[in-house]
Amino acid sequence: METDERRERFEAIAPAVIEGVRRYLARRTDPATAEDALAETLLVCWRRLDDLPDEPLPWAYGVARNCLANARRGDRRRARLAARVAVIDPPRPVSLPEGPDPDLAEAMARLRVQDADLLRLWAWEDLGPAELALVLGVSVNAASIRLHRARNRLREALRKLDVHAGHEQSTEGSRW
Amino acid sequence: MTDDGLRERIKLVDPSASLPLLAADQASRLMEETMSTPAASTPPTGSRRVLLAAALVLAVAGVGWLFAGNILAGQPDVPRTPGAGPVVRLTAGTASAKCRAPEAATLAASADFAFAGTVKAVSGQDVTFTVTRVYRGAAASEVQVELDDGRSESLVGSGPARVGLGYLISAADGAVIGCGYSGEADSQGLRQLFEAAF
Repeated sequence: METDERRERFEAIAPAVIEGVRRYLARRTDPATAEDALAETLLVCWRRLDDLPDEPLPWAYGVARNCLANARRGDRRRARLAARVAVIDPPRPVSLPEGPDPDLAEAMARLRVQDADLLRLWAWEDLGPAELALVLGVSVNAASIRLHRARNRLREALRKLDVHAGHEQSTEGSRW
Repeated sequence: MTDDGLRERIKLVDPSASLPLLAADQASRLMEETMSTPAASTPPTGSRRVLLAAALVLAVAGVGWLFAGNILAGQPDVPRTPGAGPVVRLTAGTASAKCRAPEAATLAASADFAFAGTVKAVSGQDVTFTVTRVYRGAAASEVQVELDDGRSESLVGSGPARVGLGYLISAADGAVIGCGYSGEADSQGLRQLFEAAF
């Protein structure tokens, strides 16, 4: 009886959660980690079905976010081991391919991780302050302020890149 | 650039734009696999108990960037509802018997938040610190740490928290770093470690 009700509710919400979380993960990690984190996120949703809000996606993003954080902690442990190996056999640096908007990529890279994370949630997951608050576990007011500041920092980072590029061009143009 | 313009610009580099929809049969299989797992959590195994006993929950007043990162036994935490406060679930590291001697370089490389604080209040499992100095990370006036049993073996020199007692605490990704990297401020070598690291 209870099981049937649970299954019914889960089946009603899971498709949207799967698609949303799948995209969330694809934006942030490799396919193998994404697959694991998606399964883990769904499991948490299943086990915590009674706690899920009416709009479960931001809640599920928060769970997926934690799954990724856990995976990254594991990666760092492995990286520390790899670093020791690398001292003996240093890998050659690999140049990353430039994305469709290198200035934006550079500006985002210059932001604090938390700001960049917030801006991606805002733009890619299309979240407003109330939903961001749910994902980040902060008050709506705090999320709103952080979003405002993060946007300004990104604008500033982009502006500095523009100024820098313009300066270089003018310098080059004045050379003999 | 307007907010909308900024948002559109970030959207244009969405790495999932070309991701196709998951096939219906794959989604169904995923749901079935999930629902075939018992809804109730399985009890922790022996090794998990150690981690659970060392669990801390840290709430940083005015600092939202440390987010709940429950790494207890591999079970992710769920986001808190707004208004419940910026609560961060942490683990305190492994048992001290397995810890290597702390090194400033390791602390400098791993901590993303570190502060000195004085115990302001102890209420049940909650220990509230008044921050006296932030060594690394965003400014915070208060930090709240919830201890499983009012203490943590992974904090250096840590007996039951008392009002007025000073602590030095470091954290990474929402997890308090134990193993000699956090504890009572007058613990031997801890302050020197912080000064050298930050």
